[in-house]
Amino acid sequence: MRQAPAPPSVAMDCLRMGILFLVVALLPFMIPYVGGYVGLSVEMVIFAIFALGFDLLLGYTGILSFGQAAYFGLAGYTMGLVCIHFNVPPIVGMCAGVLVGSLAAVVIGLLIIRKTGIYFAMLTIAFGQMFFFIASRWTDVTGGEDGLTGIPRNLISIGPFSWNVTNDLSFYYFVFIFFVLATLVKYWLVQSHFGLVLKTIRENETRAQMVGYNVRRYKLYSFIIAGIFAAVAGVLYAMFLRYMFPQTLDWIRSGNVVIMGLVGGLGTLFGPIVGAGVVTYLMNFTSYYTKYWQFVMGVIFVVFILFFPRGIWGFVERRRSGTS
Amino acid sequence: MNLLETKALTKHFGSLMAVNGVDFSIHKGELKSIIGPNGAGKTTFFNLLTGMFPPTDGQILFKDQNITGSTPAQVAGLGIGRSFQITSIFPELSVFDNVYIPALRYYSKEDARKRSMEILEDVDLADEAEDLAGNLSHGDKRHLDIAIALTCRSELLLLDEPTSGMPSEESARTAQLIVKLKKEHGYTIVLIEHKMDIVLAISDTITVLNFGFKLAEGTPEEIKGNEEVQRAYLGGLEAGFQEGMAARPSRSLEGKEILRLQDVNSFYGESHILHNVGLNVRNGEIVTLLGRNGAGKTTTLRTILGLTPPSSGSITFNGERVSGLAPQAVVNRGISLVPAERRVFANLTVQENLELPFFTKGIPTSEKRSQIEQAYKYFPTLERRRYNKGNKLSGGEQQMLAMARALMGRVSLVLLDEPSQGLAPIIVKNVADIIREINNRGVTILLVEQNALLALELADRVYVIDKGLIVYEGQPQTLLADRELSQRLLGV
Repeated sequence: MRQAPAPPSVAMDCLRMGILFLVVALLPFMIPYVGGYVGLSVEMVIFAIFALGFDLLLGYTGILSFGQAAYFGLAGYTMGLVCIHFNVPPIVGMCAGVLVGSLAAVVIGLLIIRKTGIYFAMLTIAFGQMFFFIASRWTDVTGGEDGLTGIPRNLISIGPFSWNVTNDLSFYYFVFIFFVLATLVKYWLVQSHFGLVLKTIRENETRAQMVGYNVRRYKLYSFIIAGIFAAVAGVLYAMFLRYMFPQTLDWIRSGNVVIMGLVGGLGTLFGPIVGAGVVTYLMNFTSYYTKYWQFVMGVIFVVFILFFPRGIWGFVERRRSGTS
Repeated sequence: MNLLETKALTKHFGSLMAVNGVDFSIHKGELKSIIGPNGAGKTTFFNLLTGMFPPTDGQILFKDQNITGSTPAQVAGLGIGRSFQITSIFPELSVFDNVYIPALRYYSKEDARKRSMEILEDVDLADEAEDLAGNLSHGDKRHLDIAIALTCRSELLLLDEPTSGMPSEESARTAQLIVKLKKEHGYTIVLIEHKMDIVLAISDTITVLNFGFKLAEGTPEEIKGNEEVQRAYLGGLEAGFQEGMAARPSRSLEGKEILRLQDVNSFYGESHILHNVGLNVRNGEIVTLLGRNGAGKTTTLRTILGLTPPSSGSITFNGERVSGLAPQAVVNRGISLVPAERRVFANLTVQENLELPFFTKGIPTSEKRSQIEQAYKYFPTLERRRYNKGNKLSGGEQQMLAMARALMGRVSLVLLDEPSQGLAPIIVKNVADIIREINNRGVTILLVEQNALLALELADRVYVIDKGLIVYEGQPQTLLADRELSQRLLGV
């Protein structure tokens, strides 16, 4: 009897994640050397959290959503509104934001998960735009086009511990904690039975069903988890800017996260993180030099789709396995 | 005791009656084959059993429990595993994961690993465990498809044409595997299969479906002797037909050659499909290319059209080399295709479907109108359905539309890919009349068929293709007269 192939080495992955965390921890100190600033590294890491969740949906389950910003923005707005109107500490606002963003993902997921392919993608856009219009038109509550100002970022206190995150560098390490958690959770999910089933759905949905998996439920969970990641990123973003504006809910922002996944490499552990970092950095960099920065981004995107369809990380992994 | 039983199981798709009041039963440990012509409802029957769609009427009982209306996942959970006619695996996962992940649904991690390796040993894929499933050979993919079906703690296996597209040596290996699954592992097996030698050799009993009805049931011997079955399934090559054929005047067509294939080789990825194929078609002829499933018939048509460009060899049309041209360029020179799947534009009306070919051809509107009117004259049914969308047509109507559409524009050669596929005999007869009619109007036809009856009846000349090689060329009468030859080449 032949032995089953060895399961993927957890020790190796832990080592790789350790290196990743070290690099990301040092990012604020390295970024000035490539023309960035601490705030940019905060954004990079926030979007990495967003992209990690999205990768579970598109990279692992094969479901394309163009409406993830809805949960991102909704969570951010909720956090802001709760903090401003009820005068509660930021941590309570964060919990409320994540809760509302995730609940929206649950409700919308339940409504649309039976649709597939382009119909599903269109519905995600429709719901996303619905929130966008509410945010831009319901001026009394959301501040409309002017945005919601006055979102607090000061003292984070849990029990006896408190941490002042007013300055960007300390806030960076606050976000970093969530980033580490998000990476570990994603890693754990992907290795788990649940994650394996998602892959079979991506590969062949009918067959996954035919071997006994309740495909629709798995897809729904995947959608909800992506929504939770988006919501976490959303509240951190609201805190970071101390400000929310309707464009955070827009489908263009949802599209950005798709681009991050594609550029970094979908369906890999590090790809979405690399993608979020690279895309956020490039957007900032190109918009500094030219007002046609979206054109430059478009070209970069096209080049990736045509020549590196597996993204940066997919390319790196392939090169490595090709040479070893 | 019956492990599985259906009572008057029925499925209608609109006006198409795919499965009609089928009573079926199989007892534990039995190997029962379902045979029947294309479109007989075999796969639909499996789809009903596995809950892919609900039956219109009737009941499904598994271990005396009514499971009608269960979802596919529930059916799998009961221990009914199913393989697919069109290979259904997880291509970007390893061979091991293809089996291991489904097994996790039913076993603990450790047991799932053990069980997966057992299954892979059984289907002879243990050595390939770490390979990517998508990189396996066609035969190995077919076996992996079966392996996935074994993971559901299955008692009952539904195997849908496990040997489809396999050469005969490889089919024999698959047949052995099926026998092993039954004898050594005690599976109860329902097998859909076209290869009669395999069916007759390994089945305990055989059920014959025809147009959704159960036509006959019995042991292999009984089925072999059943005249009705012979007529329905084996293409009706009975004595009367042969006499009719012999009496048919053979047309001597000395038109000039319009299509010529010379030493054509084609590949799908790594697999070599056509081997030095040579054939020619003269103006005004009906030429048929016969062969079994997977013999290379459709590939020949695809190669002519440039959809699967030949790797070597040449194709000339009216003296001009067309190999290497893009499909649309070939079509614009006057060749058109009626694909086996018909490919009617589902959301366009019949009229729009017919207008479509004119957009690129620069043909004046008056000619377009008259051609379409002409088409309606040949296909009065289509005129009645002029403003109905493609997806509202029955199978037969879609076939007519596909044929009518192929004639639009200035077409001199029509390639017909299995026009009889999935059609009732009466409609097949219609189709034959239409083909003859089109031909009489001066359109040359290259017809690809599995249905020997239709192909031989129409043909001026016949080619037989097997495993990508042209193995016979000649008159249909000669082929039929030679019992031994037609048996060997066509399996009839």
